[in-house]
Amino acid sequence: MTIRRFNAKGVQLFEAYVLQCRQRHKTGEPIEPVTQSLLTDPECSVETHYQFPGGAADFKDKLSIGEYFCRVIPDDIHAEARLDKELWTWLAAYFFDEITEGRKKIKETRAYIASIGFREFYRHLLLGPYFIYFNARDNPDRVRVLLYNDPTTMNEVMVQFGSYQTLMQNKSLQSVVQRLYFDEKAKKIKKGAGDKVAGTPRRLMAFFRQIELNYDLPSIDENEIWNMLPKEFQKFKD
Amino acid sequence: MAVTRLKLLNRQKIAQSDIKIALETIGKAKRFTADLKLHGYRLPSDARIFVDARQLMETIRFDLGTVGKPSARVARDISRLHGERVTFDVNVITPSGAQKLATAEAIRPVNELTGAPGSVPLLPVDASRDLDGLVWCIEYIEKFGGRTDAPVLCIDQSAVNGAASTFLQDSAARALILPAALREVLIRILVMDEHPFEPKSEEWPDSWLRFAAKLTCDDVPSAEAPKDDKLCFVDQASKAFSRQHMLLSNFIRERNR
Repeated sequence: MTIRRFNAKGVQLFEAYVLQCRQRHKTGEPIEPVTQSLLTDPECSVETHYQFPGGAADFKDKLSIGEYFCRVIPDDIHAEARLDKELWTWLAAYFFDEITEGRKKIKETRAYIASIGFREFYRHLLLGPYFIYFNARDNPDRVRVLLYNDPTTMNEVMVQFGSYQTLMQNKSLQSVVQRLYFDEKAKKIKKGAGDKVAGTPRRLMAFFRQIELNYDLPSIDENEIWNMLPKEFQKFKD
Repeated sequence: MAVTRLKLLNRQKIAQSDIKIALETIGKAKRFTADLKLHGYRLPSDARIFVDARQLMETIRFDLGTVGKPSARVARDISRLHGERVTFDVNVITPSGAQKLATAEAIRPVNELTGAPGSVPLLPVDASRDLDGLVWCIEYIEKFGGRTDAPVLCIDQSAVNGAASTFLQDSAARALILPAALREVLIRILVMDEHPFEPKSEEWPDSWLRFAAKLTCDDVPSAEAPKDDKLCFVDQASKAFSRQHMLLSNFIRERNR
């Protein structure tokens, strides 16, 4: 099947639908699925060159979302596709049931209506995982801590680092964040990593911002950064 | 609880006048050339030079050799950075290790949309996107350590109707947008960021404050000045700008034609 891209009218109608869903979710009224006409009406969207891969999409976590869309979008089109917010908004409409747990978890509109600003993009439930996965596609395990959750959940590590441009293109930093906060046995963030106290992601962000004033982070490897971490991070190193 | 603050370790600021980055755009192809004058900074000859081209969520790094042996001045391709708003960071790094010896951040190419040849525009225009219902807005790219990149006047791509460069020549658009944009940026600098004015600095907030001081013929309020004084200064600057460019009279004249 060919993937489509909303036009302005399509985005407007889908946004109205999301707002209505949120309202109904609050009042407990039933929420209707996205209509087929919204997805395919030529007055709301146009065809793109992208095709859905064969087989049903299985979005069990954000990692699988990233992996799926890396199969949809050729690597050499990434720079263009990541900025195509009408495409990502249409995709969110198409997969609305999958990314809302069957319309049970309705988040704010930016989770579905894509924005390409770096403060916003990672909040989109499809574009965010795709972009992060693409940048770590040589070894996605490096960003598992950002993408291990189910599609509707945003963990504290993702909240802190999702908009940190440097992290998106720096493998060493990605590895440090992964090593520090991901519990490989439990397959989720380490206990206490969601807090706001010493050693937590919020504090690591502040540390990165500080050292970045004096050090060129792309020139430092993973172990050097690891060894530079102040004592307060020791409890997550162990 | 505050993170232990590191001081700047003798990092030098490279003056904007010592950096010239020219951007050439032909269709979708985009290339830049960089001219750096670093001889006055007493940097080790084997210190490494990197230029980072940034746009939205992506950065491309270029190795420009060393201070003693800079690489040849050639056009470097950055076509994969989409949109008009590309900025450049220049970093001079220790020969071994990663300490920054000299930096310049958020440098704009000299030939952007609103700039005269050889000048750096105070408020570049980006009309490459739709703004979700807004005709215009001011955008900043947040940098690290709470610093921000220079403001950009974003105009909805459908509002400019394919002619971004002529949009602000319309007297109504100028009158309705520019004083409000000026006001918004100055409030950001003075009230929200509480930026301490440094008259000789090449940082973008200081360039804006110098511009505002020239408009008002008044001193820039200090960072500690009461909020009302700052807002009064902003108000004066906005009105002075409108008067000096005759925005109201031009608007009325055009409307009555």
